[in-house]
Amino acid sequence: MKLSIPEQILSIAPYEPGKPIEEIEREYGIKKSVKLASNENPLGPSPMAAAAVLENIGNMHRYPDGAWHQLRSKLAEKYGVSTDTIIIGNGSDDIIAILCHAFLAPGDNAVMPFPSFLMYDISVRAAGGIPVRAPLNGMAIDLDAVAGAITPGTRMVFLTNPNNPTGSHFSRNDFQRFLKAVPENVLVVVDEAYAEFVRDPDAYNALETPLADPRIVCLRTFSKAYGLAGFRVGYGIMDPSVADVLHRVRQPFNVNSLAQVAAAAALDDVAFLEKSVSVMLQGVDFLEAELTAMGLVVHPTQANFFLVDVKADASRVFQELLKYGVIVRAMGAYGFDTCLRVNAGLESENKTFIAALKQVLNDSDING
Amino acid sequence: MFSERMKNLSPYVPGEQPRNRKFVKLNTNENPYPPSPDVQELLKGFDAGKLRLYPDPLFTDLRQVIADRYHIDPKQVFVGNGSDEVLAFAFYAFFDSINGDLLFPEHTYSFYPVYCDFHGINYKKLPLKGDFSIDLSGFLASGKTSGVIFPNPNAPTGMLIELAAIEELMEKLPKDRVVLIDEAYIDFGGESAVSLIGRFKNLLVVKTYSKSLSLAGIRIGFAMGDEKLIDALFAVKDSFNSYPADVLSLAIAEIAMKDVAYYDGITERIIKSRETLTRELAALGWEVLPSKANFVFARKEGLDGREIYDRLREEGFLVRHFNTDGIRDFVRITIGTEEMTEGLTRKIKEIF
Repeated sequence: MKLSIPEQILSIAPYEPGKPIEEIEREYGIKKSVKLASNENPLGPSPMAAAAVLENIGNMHRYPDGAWHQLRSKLAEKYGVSTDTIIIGNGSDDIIAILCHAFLAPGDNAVMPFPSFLMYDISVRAAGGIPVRAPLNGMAIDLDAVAGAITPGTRMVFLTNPNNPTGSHFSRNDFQRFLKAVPENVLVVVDEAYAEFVRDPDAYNALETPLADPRIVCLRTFSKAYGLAGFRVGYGIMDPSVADVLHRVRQPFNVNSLAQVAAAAALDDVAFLEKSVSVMLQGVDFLEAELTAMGLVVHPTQANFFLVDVKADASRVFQELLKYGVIVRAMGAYGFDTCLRVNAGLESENKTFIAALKQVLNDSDING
Repeated sequence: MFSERMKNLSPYVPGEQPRNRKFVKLNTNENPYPPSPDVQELLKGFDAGKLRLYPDPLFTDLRQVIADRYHIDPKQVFVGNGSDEVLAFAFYAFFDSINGDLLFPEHTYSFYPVYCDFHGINYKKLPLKGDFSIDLSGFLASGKTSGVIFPNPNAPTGMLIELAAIEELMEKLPKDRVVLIDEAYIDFGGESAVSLIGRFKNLLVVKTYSKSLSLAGIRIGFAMGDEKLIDALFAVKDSFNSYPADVLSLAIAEIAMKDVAYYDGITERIIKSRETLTRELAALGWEVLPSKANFVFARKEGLDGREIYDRLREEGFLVRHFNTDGIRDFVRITIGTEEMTEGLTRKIKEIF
């Protein structure tokens, strides 16, 4: 049979998410593996989120609240915005996809840094749009290059701050200057998936003064600092006119009931969030010190992960680490052939990784 | 700032989910009974720590459970964030306007035209027969098509097409276009066409956890069909969202599907209530279409559907009314518990 899959879909190389632990353990016959590959929170979710799920299981035969009432109100309160500026998604992937479908007509383009989060490219193509890549300057997003890549056909720009996979960030002042160079009709999507980890006081933070410009769409997620990657909840804060459009293209029940109550409860547990962030940042500092002492280059980061240049074929190092039950990501697909992306885990996990990496790199075969 | 296609969108309007008043909710075809008690057990023992990790993007375990249940191969199963998403991906993957119009019945799930507008797919609505059943000959008489989609049983009529008639239709339809059967309500009295997917490589059967499995809150739907169709759905999925189904929903879905005995029990109760309601309404002079779903579509001469809806709402009962030519005099009533159905019948006797 001849399927009529649209050209724009066939042209996409699908996003390859990090493999689930179970699959890798099955494949390599290992147990108790350490996964530092998807920038997840090693502490897991707040116990309050788990309790909220148990309290709400009586309602599972009902459709979820398609207007996300409780969660949206809590977010509105947290950021001092009105609820009509908030869109909740089935992960921020969902919001990225509907933004592209709403704002890109076939032939329109969207500018994005490269390398950055690969789903922008994929979602733009899936909507029939053209992704335009603005290369990084070293490891940092080159805002001038992004602004310079904007053409009359540009409808949206994606920025990731801190950037994934490099961990770099841009400052408030740099962003303000950038915004002046962006035409009035171009949407600026700032993906702040890792905002909770940022330590530099000068870093740009779209929710410091939310909705400062109608073009800005800020995306956040519960998958990283809040430890709810398994639940798929992301949110966006944007001008009500933009939110109104997204309501037209989104699935009416895009976020399930349990995910909604878990996220709302997690939001309330500020102490747990602070503890999670502090554990992860300590982990980053520990790993950075150890790796530097090993003579490796750790690229500066404002996130819960970083790139480390292992000065060897990173895909081979990745494979060898799997044998020690350690899962990280090799960055060849992003153009960094000798870099691994590693996120901070628990203290014991971090130590396991360092010990395994030492073993692997001592193997002359890898270095040869 | 908006794309051209935005101007033509008229989004699907879901049935209302009231917040401020206790209604007897008979408007969104949810199951009135809770999911399998095994789900509760699973949740009590669930290790919340698992939530920090992303879900399995291939849904390996759930696909195996579904495959076992329907005696097919896991490679013939796709999973999504509710059947709404599965349908959206299928529209994207299989239907376009180059090959002609997508065909579906005139009165059917109102999401189909919404998806067509969204993806720019031309479509043709085929009129129902005089008795409100789907006119299968219309699918054959429409020349070149980009595909066919219909729910079985149909919504909002509840009327079923027998498996033998579907088999005959599949034999006659072109083999190079996808036929999508949306079986959201099949468990309430119909026979699934999944038994035909081995023979007809162009048949895709879509099902949901929201109705017979009583799990509307977890948003899981699935599709069953030839491996090539399933591969195409994965290609589309991976272009939109790597992880559309979450860790806990997947775990719940696995355990629920295995508890066949429990679900047979609550389904039987719903069918009994449906037959009782149908009989009682008929005795009161209502016309009730013969339903094999968990709802009935009914009207009474001299009454407008909107009026029935409004008056029942005042009395605390939410039903669904469609302000659409040809079915404006009907209301759709979801089958609730025995108690809810009795309460409704009593109220109808009282006010109409």
